[in-house]
Amino acid sequence: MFSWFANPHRFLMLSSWLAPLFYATAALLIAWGLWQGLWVVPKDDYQGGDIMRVMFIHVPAAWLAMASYLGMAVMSFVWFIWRHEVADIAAKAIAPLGATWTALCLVTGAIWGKPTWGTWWQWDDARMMSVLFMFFLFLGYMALRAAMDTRQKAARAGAILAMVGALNVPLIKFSVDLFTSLHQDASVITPEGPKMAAVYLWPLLISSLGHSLLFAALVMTLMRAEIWTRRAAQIRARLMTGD
Amino acid sequence: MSPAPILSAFRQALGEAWAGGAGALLPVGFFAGAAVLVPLGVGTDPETLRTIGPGILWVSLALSSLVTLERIFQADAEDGSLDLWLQTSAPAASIAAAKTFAHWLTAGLPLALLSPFLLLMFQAQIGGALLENMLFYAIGGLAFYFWGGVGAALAATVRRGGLLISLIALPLYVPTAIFGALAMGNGPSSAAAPLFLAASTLFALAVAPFAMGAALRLAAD
Amino acid sequence: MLPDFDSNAAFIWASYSVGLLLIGGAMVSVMMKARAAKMQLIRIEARIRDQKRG
Repeated sequence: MFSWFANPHRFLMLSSWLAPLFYATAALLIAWGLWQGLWVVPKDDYQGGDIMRVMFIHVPAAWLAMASYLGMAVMSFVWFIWRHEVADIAAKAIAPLGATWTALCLVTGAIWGKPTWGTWWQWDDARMMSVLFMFFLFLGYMALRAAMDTRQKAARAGAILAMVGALNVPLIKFSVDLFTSLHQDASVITPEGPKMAAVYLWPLLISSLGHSLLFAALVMTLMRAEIWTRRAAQIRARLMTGD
Repeated sequence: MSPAPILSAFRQALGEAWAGGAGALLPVGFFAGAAVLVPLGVGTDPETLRTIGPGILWVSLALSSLVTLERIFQADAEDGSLDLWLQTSAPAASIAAAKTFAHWLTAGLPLALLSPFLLLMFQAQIGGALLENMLFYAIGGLAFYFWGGVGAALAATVRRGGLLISLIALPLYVPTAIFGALAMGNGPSSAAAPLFLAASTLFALAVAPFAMGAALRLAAD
Repeated sequence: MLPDFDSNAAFIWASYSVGLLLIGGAMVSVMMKARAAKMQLIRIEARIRDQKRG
């Protein structure tokens, strides 16, 4: 299956109709989620009133922060083992977008935290800390790729780092959990969880799906740009050598 | 495969540490300097210093590992000795591990040995805890140097890669820093923390050499 | 019409504004990048055609 996708030409064909489809569907789903989240669903007085409406942007961002890092690591692994060019292009495209959604998760989390916990930054919240370190992993990945002088080296170094980071994420999560379990005074609200009413669950799921489709579409567009750039560089190199 | 290349990489790294002027004293000086700067910044209240002292030393240890790691693979990549190591029958991962271990011996272990004196300056009481903490700094430092070594190997061909190494390595330092701080705390769940600290160091020893090996092969291309 | 939130309205609007800003910014920069890459490729392909024609 990997090999089928590994062909850049096939990817361009596929994404030429898949990306617009994803953009359109994402727009519909996000609009519906926003409408539900901001206008329709009742406020939850148990969770501090209207402020829980931040959930409909914060939770999709948190989901994408994790999913995008995982996606980048899987793509790096595929490239490292099978050397499929498209997998590297995908990993490279995921990094800046994953960092964007991770930053969004951090900022909306801080904004949610201020009225709820009375502080912008809760050092005792394991999830905030883990996401922050994931943000640093994204930044390191991008900086490392940018520092390499050839495409091949950037791909190899990036893949090694993404895989090392992915191995460390569970350990980071576990250590931060242990660290925060010592500080019991923080009452952390848990918007996700089985007890959540269906009236919130559907807008949340639809918003998350919408954000995921938008993310996937943006990744595809960035990948297309990268393939075009590489093709242009190839042609230019051929012109230089005078073939 | 013969162990000879691994041993010679180890010896070369030891020799490098002592060559060039101050040698192994440099990281010690940096470590002490960074730690001593803190009371000047946060004030000299004895209670405060006693509380934050062990944590300050963890931070200083992490920082000094980062500043000394920049050159350990870069010099080899520049003068071609990296190519020689990789042509031997020894796996790249074991060469990298030997060099990093030697580097920890010369630049990391002395810091742990110095820690009781610095902790006394931070108003700690004389007692067995000082020696215990020394052990924790030694174990945790080993993990710092191995994860930092991954960054150093990845950035071996990058000119002025110091900041890049820091950005790569700092998230990887998190578990060690947390377990280390917990191991020294008196909290209810800190009893298992020394074991977690040791386990996370073992994890670093198991994973980092392979990443370093792959990164060194990349640097040699 | 805009919904009427309780005392925390500012926080809610702030978080959705940040979302709009970040995601909108990402979309704009991705689109610009894709357009620039496409234009560059078209230009260089046109140059090759010209060369072949002599």
